[in-house]
Amino acid sequence: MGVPRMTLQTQLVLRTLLEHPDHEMYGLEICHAAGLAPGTIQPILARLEGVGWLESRWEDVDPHEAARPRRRYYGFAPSGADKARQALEAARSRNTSGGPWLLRPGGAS
Amino acid sequence: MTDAAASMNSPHHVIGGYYRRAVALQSIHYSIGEVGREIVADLRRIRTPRDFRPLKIQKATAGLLWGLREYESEVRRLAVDLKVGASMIDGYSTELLRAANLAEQLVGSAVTSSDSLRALNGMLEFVVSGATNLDLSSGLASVTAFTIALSREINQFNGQEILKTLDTCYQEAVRQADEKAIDVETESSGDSMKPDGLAMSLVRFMLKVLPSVYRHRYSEELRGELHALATAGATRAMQIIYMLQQISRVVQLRTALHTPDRPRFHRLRQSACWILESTVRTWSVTVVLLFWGGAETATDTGMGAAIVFVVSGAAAYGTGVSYLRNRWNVQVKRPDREDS
Repeated sequence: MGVPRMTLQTQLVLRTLLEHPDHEMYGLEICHAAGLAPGTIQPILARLEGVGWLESRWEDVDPHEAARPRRRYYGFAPSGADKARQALEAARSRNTSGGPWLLRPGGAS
Repeated sequence: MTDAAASMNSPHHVIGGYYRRAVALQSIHYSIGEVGREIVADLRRIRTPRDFRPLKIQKATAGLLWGLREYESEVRRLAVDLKVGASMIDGYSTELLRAANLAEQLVGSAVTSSDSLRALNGMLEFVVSGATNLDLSSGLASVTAFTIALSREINQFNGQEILKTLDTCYQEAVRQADEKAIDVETESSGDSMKPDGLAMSLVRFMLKVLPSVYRHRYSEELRGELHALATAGATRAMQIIYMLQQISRVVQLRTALHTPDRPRFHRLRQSACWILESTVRTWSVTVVLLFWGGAETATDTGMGAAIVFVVSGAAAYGTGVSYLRNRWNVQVKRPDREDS
């Protein structure tokens, strides 16, 4: 699988997940943490999962007992966190070398 | 609600129950048909008064009558249950109501056949009691004709159709069992924090755009998130806005599911990369345009302005080309590889 498109939103999602690489989050939670609009998150998660960086699983509850549908939790695949860090670094260096007039991802360190 | 009670309410379970009962009905239906055919065969074998054994025929018709009564009461119960099921499971109400109507028709047929059988028994008794005085052959002829008509009536029972309708319903229920079970559970839980109906309709609308293999997953995922929003106290408007935002990106989601590593403007980028791979392709058109613009500027303004235009234009274009080649990892192909 190739590398997903590293848009600003994708970078924000990856940075959010990299804050706690072992922690799984569901879509709405990632939205709030990354400060993104809800609609933007699903295509990004689908793309990251499609290239094998992320893995997802259903919440381990019985919907009948919990009286609500299960949530879908997303977390890094075994080598996903490393690939994400590399891609973020590459995106950062690309933006830096692109000149001072280019926008940088929010909160880029 | 307990697990057992919840599973009893799932459409899979409910329709599965109807289906099994319809299968049982079908076997009763076949048994009735068999008994009817035996009676007709017995009657047709009568050639002389000695062959006429009214007790045997009466015994068979009594068995048939009992079978029909059982069939009738079972079909009646199934018709009632199907209507209850139809009101309980919205998604299948049309199909189930159709099955219920068919079952009611079967009740009508069974009642008519029972009445006919009772009449046949009466005729047989009349023929037996009056055999000494009446013409036995004409009496038997009427009984045989009546029984053949009854046999045809019984065979017209449309058990197969009701079974087919329920089978279609059952297969559909199995396919969507989990999803519908959640709906039934959510509806029956009486939870005041349940998601808004319009937002749920928007979920269903959105799912139609997604590839069929992903529909089930996103159905539950989006419902789960709507539920989380509702539990967090999101208003109806907020839930609808949330779903509208999801819908606004549904085409991107669909593309991401099909080709996760493909850029947004794939074709355009492919064409741009093809141009950037070659210095000749990159500069040929631009150089012509720059010189044409320079010539126009020289005519209108003067040579100095034309030189500034050409040099600054070429520099800006060159910077843009370098940036794109770097960003998209475009390697310039030989023989026109640039030294820089």
